[in-house]
Amino acid sequence: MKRISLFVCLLLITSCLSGCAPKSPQKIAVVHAVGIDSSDDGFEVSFQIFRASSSGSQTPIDPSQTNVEVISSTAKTIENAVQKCETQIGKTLFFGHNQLLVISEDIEDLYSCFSFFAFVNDSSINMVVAATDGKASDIINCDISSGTVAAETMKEIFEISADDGYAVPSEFMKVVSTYIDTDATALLPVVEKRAQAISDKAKESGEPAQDALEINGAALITDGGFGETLEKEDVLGINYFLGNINGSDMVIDLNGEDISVKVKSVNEVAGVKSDDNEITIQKEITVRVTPSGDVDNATKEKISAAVEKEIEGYITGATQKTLEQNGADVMNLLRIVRQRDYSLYESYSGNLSSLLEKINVSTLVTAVF
Amino acid sequence: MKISSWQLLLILFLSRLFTTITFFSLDSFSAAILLPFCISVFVEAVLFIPAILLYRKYPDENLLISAFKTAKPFGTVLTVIYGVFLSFLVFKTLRFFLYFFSSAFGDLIPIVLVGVLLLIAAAFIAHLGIQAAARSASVVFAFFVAMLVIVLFATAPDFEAENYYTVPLSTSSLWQGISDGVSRSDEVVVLVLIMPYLRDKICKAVYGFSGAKLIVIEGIITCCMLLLGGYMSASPFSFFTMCKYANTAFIERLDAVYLFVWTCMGAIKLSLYSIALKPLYENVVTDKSKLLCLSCLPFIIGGIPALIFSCKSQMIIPFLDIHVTFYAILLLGFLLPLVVYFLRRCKREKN
Repeated sequence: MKRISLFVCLLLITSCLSGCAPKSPQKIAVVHAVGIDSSDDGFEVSFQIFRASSSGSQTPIDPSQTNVEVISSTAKTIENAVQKCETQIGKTLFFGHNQLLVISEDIEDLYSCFSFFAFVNDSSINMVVAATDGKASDIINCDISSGTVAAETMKEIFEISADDGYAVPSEFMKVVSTYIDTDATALLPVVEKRAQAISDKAKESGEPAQDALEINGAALITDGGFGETLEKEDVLGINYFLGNINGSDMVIDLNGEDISVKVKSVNEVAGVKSDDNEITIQKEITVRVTPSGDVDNATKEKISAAVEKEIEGYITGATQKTLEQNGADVMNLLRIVRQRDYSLYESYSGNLSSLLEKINVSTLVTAVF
Repeated sequence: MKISSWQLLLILFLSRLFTTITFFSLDSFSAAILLPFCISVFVEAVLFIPAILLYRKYPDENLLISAFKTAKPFGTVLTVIYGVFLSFLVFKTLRFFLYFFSSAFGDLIPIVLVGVLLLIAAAFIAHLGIQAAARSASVVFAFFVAMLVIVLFATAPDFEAENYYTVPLSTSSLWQGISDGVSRSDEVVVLVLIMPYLRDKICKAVYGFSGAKLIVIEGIITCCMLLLGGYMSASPFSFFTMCKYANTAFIERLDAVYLFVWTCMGAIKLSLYSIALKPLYENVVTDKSKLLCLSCLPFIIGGIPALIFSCKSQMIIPFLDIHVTFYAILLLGFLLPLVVYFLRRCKREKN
């Protein structure tokens, strides 16, 4: 009994090492979203922090009583901006629950943005990273009424869009991993703010229009800086190629009739063929198609053919825009070469752009029911 | 106070896991360590042979007792050498832990306080003996398995097959990887000292430990590669990063759970270094306070420099932690036990 109680004490002592912060919760500001814009001084960094003091009135969701506040500061580096904000509010910023990082496309020094969050001790590495062609501070200032904290809802918007194929998966860890593996290339979803339509009844009662976020394409990062913006179809092509589609709606035109189907990625198999001048990556992609109603076998064949053609079109467009026009690898091509033929990959280390120039992509899409 | 082979396997396994899940290699280039690590496990299996021979012939003696029975001066010299090496292992282990803690959790609490608390916990486990360590190891192992299962289930959907690749290695890289793997296997040295506490077959414990280590650690390295890909080079603690990424419906941040499990592993590993010297004096010294002082000795000799060193921003000292440790393990875990075995047998035959 004595030993058991001593053992329990021991466990308690060691478990107490793992959580108790010397700072009380009042001294910590929990950051839920970060926006980084360019300014004359360097960076303008905005933080959406949780404010417990105004967490709604009698109902948990009350648009008039927001439970977040946004603070901003400008500085030469992000570290300095953080310190300025901490001085401003008299609290330490805690990034452990950060859900979203929005970067303005005006930012040239993306490496500083990524490296700050990669090396901060408590930063969340599965926060969503997005780009915006406007002001990042406007995005994190969005007055989103649903959910207890706006940033959590923002993150869910990205996740659902990624499942549908309209946004690229962009968790911070995945983005940085791609950035490292492909010589400073990555792809971030582009987010825009728009005012949501409100009902006539809401207008009559004087309620303001609520903000809404929309994912519109993706921003290509090449050589560590923002480049071209991809359209939604290109993003779909990339997601089909990578097998990221969990359920995307597609409308097929069959003899003048629109048929709606749901498409889901099932499997992809990649192979590499190389000779002196060319490296061909062949990918066989299988998708499962679910029509909205009952269809006969003949119609199924037509739908399959139409879906295969549509997806191949998306992938070809995405390949042209990313690989051929911009020399950017956002489709894991370099990783496939590295996996299948490391000697070939190593012979181009330090000059991966030359390797990319030699890569051709060939896809075979099969749609099954 | 004897333990079963399963308990010994668990203690050795947790001790090795502690080192491995801290970091994988100097430059986290995991594709290059899969094969060398696999080979190093087979090398360690060979290094265990003298310990197995000694145990089979003299099951109630550890290496130092056998050395004393061969010749007292020889036993004294070996005791000093092993005592110094065990203190160095305390220094190394505590340094790893404090570096990890300060890097991963910033300035939560003063790092010296963390080190002192861990040393106190380890000293207490050592004072209670091998059975307390073995039972603690069983509980911690259960927590580790639960944590591992949760992390794998939470992160498996995000594995990318293209992140996994193997690298053809030159002879020098292969040798470097093997010596890196062997340099972390201080269990080879610890085993020759804690053998008398075993009541079952030693082969079951030793080769079970090698097999478990090979499967689990290669599995962890592979999963980290599949999930993290290039991010591994940005994070010195790959498994910890994997736990940070894992997100479940009921726990958002698994890194806090990881720290608890890892701290318990650290306490058990540190206690082993003191328990290893116990067979030498526990039958001779009867005074409890003297026993406690003797069990605290490695922690004082090795722990205080580690607490002083914790202010430095460097975890690995390559010359010391890899090269010196590799040759020390070869000498203290293989060569000297083999010498003691043959000398003991010769003396017995003469008698």
